Formats: sequence, structure tokens, C-alpha cells
Amino acid sequence: MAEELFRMEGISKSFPGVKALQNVSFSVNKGEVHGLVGENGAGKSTLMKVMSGVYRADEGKIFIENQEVKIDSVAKGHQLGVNIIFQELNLAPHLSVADNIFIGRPPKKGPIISDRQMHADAKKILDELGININTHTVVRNLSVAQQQMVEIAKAISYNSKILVLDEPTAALSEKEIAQLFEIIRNLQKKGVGMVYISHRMEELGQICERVTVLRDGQYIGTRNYKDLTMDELVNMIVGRTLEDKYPKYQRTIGDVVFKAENIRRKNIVNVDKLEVRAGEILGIAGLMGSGRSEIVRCIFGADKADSMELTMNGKPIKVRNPRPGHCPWHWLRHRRP
Amino acid sequence: MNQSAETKPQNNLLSKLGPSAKKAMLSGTGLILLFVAFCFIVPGGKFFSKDNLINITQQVVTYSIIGFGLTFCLICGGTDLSAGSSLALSGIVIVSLLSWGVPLPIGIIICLIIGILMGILNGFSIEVLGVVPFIATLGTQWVFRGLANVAVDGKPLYTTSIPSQAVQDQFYMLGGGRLSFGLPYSVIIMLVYGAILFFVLAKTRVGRQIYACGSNLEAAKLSGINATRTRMFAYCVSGFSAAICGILVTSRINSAQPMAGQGSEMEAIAASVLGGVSNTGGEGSIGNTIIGALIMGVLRNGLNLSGVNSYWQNVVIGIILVAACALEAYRHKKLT
Repeated sequence: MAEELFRMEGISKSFPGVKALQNVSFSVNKGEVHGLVGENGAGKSTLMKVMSGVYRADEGKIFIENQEVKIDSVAKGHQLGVNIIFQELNLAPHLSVADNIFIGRPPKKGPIISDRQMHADAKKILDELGININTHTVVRNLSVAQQQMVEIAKAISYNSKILVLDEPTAALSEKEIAQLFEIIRNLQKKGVGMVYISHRMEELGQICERVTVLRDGQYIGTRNYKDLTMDELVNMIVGRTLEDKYPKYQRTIGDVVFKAENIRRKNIVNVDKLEVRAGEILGIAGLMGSGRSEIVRCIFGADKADSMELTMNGKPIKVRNPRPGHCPWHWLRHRRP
Repeated sequence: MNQSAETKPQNNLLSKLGPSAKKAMLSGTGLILLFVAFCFIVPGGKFFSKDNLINITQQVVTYSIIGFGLTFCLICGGTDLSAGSSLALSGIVIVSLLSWGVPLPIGIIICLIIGILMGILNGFSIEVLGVVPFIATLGTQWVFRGLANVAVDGKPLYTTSIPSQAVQDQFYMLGGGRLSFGLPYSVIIMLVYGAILFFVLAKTRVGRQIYACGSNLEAAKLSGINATRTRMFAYCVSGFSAAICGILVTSRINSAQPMAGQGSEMEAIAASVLGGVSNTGGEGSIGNTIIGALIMGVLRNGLNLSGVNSYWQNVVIGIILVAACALEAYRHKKLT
């Protein structure tokens, strides 16, 4: 039986008009990676914010190593070894890597900050995690993946016992994900308990022992990942049996309505042809930074393309500025960060 | 993984230089160019003479001391438009106190405390009442200016109203006194004060927290930094600086003018920005401010001596400010 590190019992939390969490229980063992899944709005992030002291629960108890604790502030969470890495990274872009790792509590000699000590300590933490980043680099000059590594290093520097990773792989490439998983396994060996929030089911299988499912703020269940079939997991998440994961809709696909050709912008966008037919939904897939949004921004006129030929209903059109009606604003807003 | 940011060796001095230091190098180059240019432009070698250089330093004192306070506010992501009015109000406070017979050291201490209180008032409106810094300090700008005028009914308060001649002389020495070779005391006060603030900003915890708040407020809060207290501190530094400046200016001109320092907060913001302090927060240092203040001082003085009238001076300085920022924006765009 694994040693229990962290337990939450009967957690409820309401916001004006919404019951975000109702009687949710959750636990993490030493050296475990515990998957937390659920649809958007199921309450995963709220639960994690309660766990790390950003929010205070209306009801419920929290135990760390079987001792009841009150986590009523982020600082208290840090003190107790609970750290969260938010989906939207929380780094100070103007400051150096070392400054970010020790943000709010730099090593001091008397009242003076010891930069030398801070950089040495930061380097030690990065080295232990197998991350190769210069501690003097200003954070905004790092790639998203590197910034995430800095976040993890920052969390580790608090002597974390429990680390929450909120969709850490959303912006990473395969290779970067592999590196992240290596770091996670490294931490596992050190006995750090981790909560892993992700929408990517195949990732859960790679690193999680147990999975907890939330739906509409309610606790649905905790299972060993090995004992679950994908269908069972999906059923728990959506709350009904899905006959078909990709249901077929009857649709009539008509003629080409919109066509964009030769979209070029610097070396970011390089698309030969893109067509949408009537009744069709065109998906554009790719990692963050691969140019998905940039393509749409060009078509929309938000960025100036070096070259682009647009055809709407067979007639060539020109777009100079973003303009409602051409394509709706929320196309650009609703992209995942 | 992306290796681009890791190629520099850890011990390369250049790689250790922060963005503020790099900007300071750029602005410093601009300053040297300006300086050399004026040495040639101004006829008769009047620019590069001992008297004129001392004259410039005296002008620079005002820009930099107000600028120090604004640097704190700008770095933490705020601004302080009330600094000029605080300056005037502090001047009136100190002269009134002295004319009531309060001893000079106590008068100075009370005046500085009032400066801090003005900072607290700004911080309170911003942090507690939730008014954005621009509006909050615009409001207090009028409040402080109004109070200064009310206190003296819009008329200047001369130091001759101080009963003791000895105190009058001592008070004049603060801003008007000079060392044997002509260097004003106020320059030394500015340098010492600047050194202290440099140290606070660069090497203490609260300094680092000011950068963090300006760079990413949310991250700062989530890292357990007390953002309210940190930013409150920045506004207090600004009020305190304005009070110091008020004392020095009043002392130099022998009178407290209710309209003193009008627009000086804007010139100080311009100086900070010219020196390389980011006006959106997170970047800058006291060194940047001093360089910026020197640029402003050299510009004003050089243009004056070149026979450019003060209306055209404003046109030139305005263009230089915008052009410098445009250059920086261009440099930034090219980097990213």
C-alpha cells in the first residue's frame, strides 16, 4: 500500500451563482502521478486552486501526511510544500531565470540579496532536473517549453512535496513532452506526489497510476488507470455512454465557398492552398507556434501577409483590415493558449 | 529543445547584463554624442566651461530626484503624476514650519514624513480604492497643488519670513550652498540618495519585488509577494523624493512657490524613459534615470546656449523623446 501524502475530503466551493465544487474528495500518494480529468468547467482548476491556497474552500478538510492543515494563502501552500504550475505560465518576463525561480524569497546575506548565491542555487536545481538553461537569461527570451521547465524548477525550489501540473503539455512538441516526462519521473523517484491535469488521454496512460474524474463540480470516481478501458473513462467524463466517439452527422458538402492560396508571411506562414466547402468544418491542427493562428490572422487581415489570394464564392476578395462579417472576432479569441 | 537561449556561456559578462544595463549603454552613448555635439555647436566654448557644467548638474538634480521616485513607480507598473505638486506642497510645508520657529532638522523630518504620507495617499487610492494609477495620481496632483495654493493664498512664501537669520542661512545652504570648488551640495545629496535607492532597488528583497510586480503582477501575487505593500512602498519613495526635491528647490530660490515644479513629473517621466526605464513596468534602474536626467539637462542647457528659444526647445525635446522610444520599439521588434 502506497504511503498517502495528501488528502482532501468533502471539498465544496461556490461562486456567486455557481456551485463549482460539491463534496469532492481527492488524494495523492508519495511518488504518485495522479491524473485529474474532466470536461472544461468540471472544476479541475478550482479544485487545484483550493489545494494550493489561491481559493479557500467553503467546506471540507485538507490533510497532509494525515495532519489536518489549513491552506489559506499561496504562501501557506508553499510553506506546506504544495505548488501549482498554472496553464498560463506565471513568470515575470523581464526578470532572469534565477530571479524567477527565487521570486519573492531570494537568498540574502543580511538585508542584501546575494545574486551569486541565487544563480548558483538556481543552477543546482536546474542541473538536478537535467534542464540546460543559462540562469542569467531573461525569461521572455525563452521558448514556451523552456519557460515551463523554469516553472517546474521554481516549484521544486520550494521543496515541493506535492506538485500540480495544469495541462503542461498543451504547448509542447513530442520531444519536449518526452523531456517533461523524464523530469516528472525524476521527481517521482524523489517521492514528490504530482497531480496531472490533461485532456490528452494517451498521456495519462503513460505516466499516471490513478485517475480521478470530475464532472460539473462533482466527484465521479477514482480508478487505477490500468483497470480502465478508454470507453469507461470517457463515459465517466461525459456521464453517458458514447456509442461512437466520433459520431457521424449527415451533412451535405457543397461547393467551395472560400479559398485562400499562396499565403506567405515572413517565415512563419507558408500555405499553398486552403479550401472550405459549404457545410464543411475545416480544422487546422498543429502545436503552439506552428503557425495556426498566424494563418488565420493573415486571412482575417489582422496581420499583413506578404502574399495571399483569397476567393469568396468564386470572386477574388481583398482584406486589408480585420472587419466583422469577414470572419468573426471570436475565431481569434477562442484559440487555446 | 530550443537551444538558442543556451548557447552563451554562463560566465560571459555580457550575458549577465540585464536589459536595463543594455539600455543604459545605449542611452549613455546618446548622452555622450549629445554632449560632444553641444561642445562644438555652442559658440565660444561656453558649453564646456566649469560654470556651465555645474549649472547643468544643478538642473539635473531636480530631474533625477523626482525621477528616482518615478522610476520606482514606473518599474512596478504604475506612475505618479502628483510628484510635481508634492514638490510644491513640501516646499510650503518646510518654509511654514521654519517660520513658526520649528528647528531646521525637525522641520526637514516633518516635511519628509508629509512626503511619505502623500505617497501613502496615492498608494491607498490605487491599491485599496482600486483607482488606476494614472487617474489616482492625476487627482492627487490637483489636490496637492490646490492645498499648496490654499495654504499661501496663491502667493509665494519667502524664506525671509523665517525669524532667525542663522536658520535662513542654514536652510539656503541645503540647495544653494556649494563646496569650495563650486560643486553644489544638492548634487552630493542627489548622488547619495541615488546610491541608496540604487541599492534598495537592485539588492534588496523589496526592490526585486517591485520588478516582479511590474513584470507580471499575477505571477508576483501567486508567488506569495504582497503586491499591495510593495507598490505602496514605491509610491512612498516617490512622495519622499518629491519632498526632498521640494526642500532643495525652495532652499535654492529662497521662496516656496505654490506653482513650483509644475510639469516636473512629466519631465522626470521623460528623463526616466529616455534613460531606459520601461514605462510599462518591469525594467529599468536608478542608473537609467540618472543618464536620462543628464540627457534632459544637457539638452535643455545646450539648446539654451545655442540660442534656441524655449518654445522651440520643447518642440525639439518632444521630438527626441518620441524618436528615442520609436528607435527602442524598432530595436525590440527586430529582436523578437
